[in-house]
Amino acid sequence: MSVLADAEIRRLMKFLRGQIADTEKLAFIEDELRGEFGAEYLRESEMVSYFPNKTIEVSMPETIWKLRIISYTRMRMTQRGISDEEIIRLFEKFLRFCADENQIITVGAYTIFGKASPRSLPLTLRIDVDEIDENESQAHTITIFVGRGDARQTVEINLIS
Amino acid sequence: MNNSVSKFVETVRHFSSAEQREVLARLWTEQAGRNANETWKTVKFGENLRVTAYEPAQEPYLEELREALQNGVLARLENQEEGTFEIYAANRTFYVTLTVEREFAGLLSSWLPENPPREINLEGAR
Repeated sequence: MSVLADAEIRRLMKFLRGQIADTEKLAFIEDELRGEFGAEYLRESEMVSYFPNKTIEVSMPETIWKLRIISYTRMRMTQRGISDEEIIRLFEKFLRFCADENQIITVGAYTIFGKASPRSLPLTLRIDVDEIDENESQAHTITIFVGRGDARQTVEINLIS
Repeated sequence: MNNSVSKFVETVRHFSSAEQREVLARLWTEQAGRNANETWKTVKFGENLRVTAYEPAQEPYLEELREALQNGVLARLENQEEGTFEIYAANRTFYVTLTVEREFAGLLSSWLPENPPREINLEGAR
């Protein structure tokens, strides 16, 4: 059970009013979001489907990256007030960091932790790199959230009960 | 210590945290899973479980995820607010949003145990 913050509901409803014309449907969704299982309702496929995919192009010296923001991430961005620009800045930082550190980006999952700008909150961006090509590479977002995941107790587990 | 075990331990020491979790999760016994803490827990769902993929590329893995969740599987809570877990099935790790009350799992990503997410810390990066 998890309750959404009022500011989160306001941001979500503002976005949804641009997607859904049916006022009864909107009222129903708002009731659900304000309910005790609002956070859980938000994860349902029907809700996520109201947040369209969007592809952003990021030009780097050696290649063009197409970063697809999936519906689920867009829903989380709307909920948390995270902008496209913050995603782009974090992704660009990631690409620059890998280039500077001579880390070769390969197909697979990445968990990126950092700040979009010095004054912004720390964010965790999870992405899947889908394709690496000389001219155009592709990735898509998985999710984004403020802070780090619950990393403690993830390695130091007691194997003897 | 047996030579092969020593080699194994030495190898694991050089793994990233994500790689170590992949190994440890598969060494856990069912008994230990039942006595796990808030971060690590065994999850098991019944027939009413609903699974969905948020990405078309993940759809081929839905049945494997369903089977793991219905048989009972070790899970690690990744983010409380988001409800995201890593689910350590025998041959694949799933990254899902899990809603126990609604018996619902939304599949976000998955990978083979030998290829877990690479963790990049940009703190201090320009």
